[in-house]
This record gives sequence, structure tokens and C-alpha cells, in this order.
Amino acid sequence: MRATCLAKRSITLLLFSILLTGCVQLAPGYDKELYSDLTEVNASLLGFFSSVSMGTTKQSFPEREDTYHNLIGRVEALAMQSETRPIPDAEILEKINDYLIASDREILFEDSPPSVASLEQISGTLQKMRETDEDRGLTPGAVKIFKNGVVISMDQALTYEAFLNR
Amino acid sequence: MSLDVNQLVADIKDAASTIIDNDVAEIRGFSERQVQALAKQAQLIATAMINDEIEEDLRDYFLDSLEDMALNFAKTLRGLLTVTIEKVWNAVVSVIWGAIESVTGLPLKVGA
Repeated sequence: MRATCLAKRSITLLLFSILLTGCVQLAPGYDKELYSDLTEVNASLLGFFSSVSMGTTKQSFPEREDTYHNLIGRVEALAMQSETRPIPDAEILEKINDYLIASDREILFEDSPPSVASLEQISGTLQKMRETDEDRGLTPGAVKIFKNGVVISMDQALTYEAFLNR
Repeated sequence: MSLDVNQLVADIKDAASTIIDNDVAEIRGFSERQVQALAKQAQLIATAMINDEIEEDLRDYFLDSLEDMALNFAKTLRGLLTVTIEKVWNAVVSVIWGAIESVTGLPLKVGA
């Protein structure tokens, strides 16, 4: 009886606090242009991987150098664009994190969109691929691994950005 | 006219469940794709190592990257969860404020 009363009181308090806070925005707004640019750069990346799928030689690297620079630049610009978006109610995320820390929870909410880390991962992958290509060329097996890595990270970025369209 | 608490609780549950059911289905699909792709990455690295297609420095880089990708997968899941929490929170506020509006006849700014 006493436990039920306590639970009801807790629920009432929770509902009251939500009521006082009103609507919140805990993640950045959906950016249609950013999402569109992401899908475009994704198509360019897959096209590039298709062109080198049989492997490369370091002698032919100059033919690809500009493509590497172009793709890395575009991906880094998108990471920057993603990171500069504000989160209107970031202080509520801080309160949630304070609660999680006080409860000894190790998973905290970040105020940076996760797509930033995924795009930075793609940029790093392309830079390593460029260095290897220039140094000794790429085997077909290495190209497959670079490509799948980019696909994984791009799926993360695209899924998150699409999810923001709520 | 008084506020029907039982009806309010049922409405809140409905609003939250609809959002959670929909989002969980999307998050599950994403998770399945990621797990499959991460497993494929491990397989590709192992195959390339067996066939001597990658040198030691590249092997180390790929293994470190795999770890980073798994971490980013977890970060993305947390980001998706944040959006779901936001949607549930706002749906609950909307239901509660709507119930108060209907009882008091006073308009409340739900978007505040």
C-alpha cells in the first residue's frame, strides 16, 4: 500500500517535471541539404571504389590523386557542417548525464552528433587508402576492406541524419 | 469537469508505445545491417591476411579501424535513442497538456 502510494507520487512528480519543462529538442534539427549532400558523396565514393576494385599500382596513383583530395575534402566539409548545428536543449542532456553519473552509469549522452565521428572515420580511411596507394598501390583485397569500412561508417551517418527527420 | 487520471495514463502509454514500437523497428534494422557489415569486415581482414594481400602496418590499421567502427556504431545507437527519448518526452507533454486544456478550457502552448 505504502509502496503503491510512493510509486504514484513518483509518477506524479515525473509527469509534473515534464509538464513544467514543456517540449524539448535533445538532438540537432534535420538538415535536408546535409542529408542530400551525404547521399551524393556516398554515390561518388562507391563509384570511386568501383573504379579501383581490381587493385591499383603506385605508378598510376597520379591519375587518382585529385579524386582522393576531392572526396576527402567533401567528407570533411560535411563533418564540419554536421558538428556546427546547435542542440537547443543541451542543458537537459547535461541534467540526464548528471543523473547517469550519480547512478554510476558509464554511458553518457553526447552533445555532438554521432555522424561527425562516422564522417571523420571515413575521412581517415580515405587518407590511409591514399597513402597506401601512393606508397605501394592497392591489392583488390585491401580495396574491399577499405570499401566495406566506408560503407559501415556511411550507413551510420545516413541512418542518424535520416532519423533526425522526426 | 475533472481530469480522468486513468484515461490520461492510457493515452500517455498509447502515445509512448506508438513511438517506441516504430523507432525500435528502425533501430533493429540498422543494428542488423551494422552487425552483418562488421562481421564481414572481420572476415575480409582475415582473408586478406591469409592470402598475404595486406602488410603488417595495414593489418594493424584495419584492426584498429574495426574497433573504432564498432565504437561509432554504439555512439550512433545512443544518438538514435536520444531522438526517441525526445519524441516520447514531447508526445507525453502533448498528451498531458491536451488533457489539461480540455478540462480547464485554457489554451496551453505545447511547443513552449
